[in-house]
Amino acid sequence: MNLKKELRLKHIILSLLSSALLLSFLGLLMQVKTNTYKTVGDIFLNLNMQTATANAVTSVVTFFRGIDTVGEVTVLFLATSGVALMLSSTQRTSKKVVKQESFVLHVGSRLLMSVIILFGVYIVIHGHLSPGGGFQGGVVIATAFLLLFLANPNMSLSHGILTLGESLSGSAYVLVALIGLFKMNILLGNFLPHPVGEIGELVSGGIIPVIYILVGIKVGSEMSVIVEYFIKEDYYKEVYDA
Amino acid sequence: MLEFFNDTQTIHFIIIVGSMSLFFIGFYGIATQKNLVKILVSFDIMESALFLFFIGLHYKVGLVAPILDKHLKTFTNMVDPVPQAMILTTIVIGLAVLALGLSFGIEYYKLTGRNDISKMNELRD
Repeated sequence: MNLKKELRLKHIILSLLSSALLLSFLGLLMQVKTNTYKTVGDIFLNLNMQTATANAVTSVVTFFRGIDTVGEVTVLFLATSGVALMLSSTQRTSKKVVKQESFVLHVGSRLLMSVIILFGVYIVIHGHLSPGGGFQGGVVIATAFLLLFLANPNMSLSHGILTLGESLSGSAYVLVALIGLFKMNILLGNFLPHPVGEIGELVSGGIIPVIYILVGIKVGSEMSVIVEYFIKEDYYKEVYDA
Repeated sequence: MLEFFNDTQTIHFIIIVGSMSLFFIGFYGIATQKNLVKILVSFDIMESALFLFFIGLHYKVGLVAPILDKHLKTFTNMVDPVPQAMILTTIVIGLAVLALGLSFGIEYYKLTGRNDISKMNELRD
């Protein structure tokens, strides 16, 4: 009883501390005025017509700040390797016997999976024309595999194909960047033809859609691996409740 | 009635209050919880608050998303694309860090059978 009271007192004190910090932060942030100075984004918007990409966010991500995206993809690769190293080392030896999936679940999950993969591929391919792109579409593709795992926990992905697609797309991304360096003298130079008149069409923007398709393959396979490792993990319920 | 929201200062006020409240909900979770998984999820809540804050504060009334279509032919009167691109990067990094942290937490639980951070004393000796 005494312990419980102490805990409650601590919670009250900490919530009061959080509120006090919130109020002080709000007091600082409320003094910020909306200014009208020029930002680097205005320069990018002025230059953006030259890249022949209808979506300015895509051209910032893959072209103006393309080197950041190379680093980001590397971080995602390292995190996936770490998750695989951590969660595959000590699998529980006694396999649980899971009930066979029902017919409706089997057919329904596969029907929905094809539609979800089609939607993800659409988001990846139209990354330079509409909101979306390689990262978003790759995650949508991974949700299709999440659906399959929820329907049938006995399923397992072919790691050979996933590793092949992931490493090939990663190397192709670096290769595209290096070809740009040799042909245009800048890393990730846009060496494919990108006439400004074709802006808004599916094949436009030179290497930008190519890069986003490669990123989509890479993110889709990495996210599928992460989903598989976490859903095959028997301990997650215990870890959360303990 | 809804013209009240058609003002940049009002929208920024709502975004600052909402995102900072979310941020300190995550802070409260970190300060009170002892479960490793719950602390990591609280970190993720704080991260989401920062995403909302950055994306929301660069919006101004009257500007549109920086994407051309049939009716928009030039890149004028558009919001700054740089914060959106940077937050896209940050979301992916945050996801990678959360997945790696959760896998470390699960591995720690497998090795020791505990996930209470107040009882972590392996490095004491």
